[in-house]
Amino acid sequence: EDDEPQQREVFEFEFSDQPLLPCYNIQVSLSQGPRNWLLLSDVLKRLKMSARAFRTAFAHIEVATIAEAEFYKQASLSQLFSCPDELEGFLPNSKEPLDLVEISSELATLLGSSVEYLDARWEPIAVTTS
Amino acid sequence: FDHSKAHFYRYDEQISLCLERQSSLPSTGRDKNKVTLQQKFVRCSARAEVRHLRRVLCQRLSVDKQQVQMLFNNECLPDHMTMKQLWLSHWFGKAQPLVLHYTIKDKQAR
Repeated sequence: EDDEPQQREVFEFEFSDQPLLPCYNIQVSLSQGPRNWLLLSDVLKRLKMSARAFRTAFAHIEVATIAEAEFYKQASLSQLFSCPDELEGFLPNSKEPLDLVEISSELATLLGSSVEYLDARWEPIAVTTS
Repeated sequence: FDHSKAHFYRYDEQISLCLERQSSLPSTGRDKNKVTLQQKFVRCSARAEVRHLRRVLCQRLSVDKQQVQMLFNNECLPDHMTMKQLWLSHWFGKAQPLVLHYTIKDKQAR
């Protein structure tokens, strides 16, 4: 049993004392499946940073771009965005690019959240942050 | 713990929750000492189950897992219900986050 070939199934739980930024499950390129993204504009607002300062300070964090219409099309298919108010700020036919950043534990920490990991079989996992 | 050997549910759709402690009694002096989650906004995979959330909550609040119950509209939620099922059955059409309540039973009361 020490020799575990399978991957462990681990849930991540992000905790914050302020409302979490909206997260969108979007496929930005054909080479990878849907992933979870925040709008860069939301992140910048929360961090009170300019886009330039963010890109300089966190050059290793990839910023993906998608046309607003494509973003809207994918986001509106989600059953989790069934409340029309949540997508009303987006233009369904706009070709304007939207900048997205993928959720990661680093980004969550930057935004003031903390992350808990839990083995799907129930055991909490102690994680040493490096 | 080696992250590279873990399958995270991180590409799943994520559910945004707000966890509020439910008081069974009107506010009393004793209530002031109650254990309450400081970071009450939570995001997790839509495939996470109530029992996972309960477990993580116990860990956060340093209480036994038998002490915590998850509730929606005063109804206790079944352990194996996923967050997606919960969303579709109780929150569809509403804005995020999904508001859930939890209770913590006194240890000595069990």
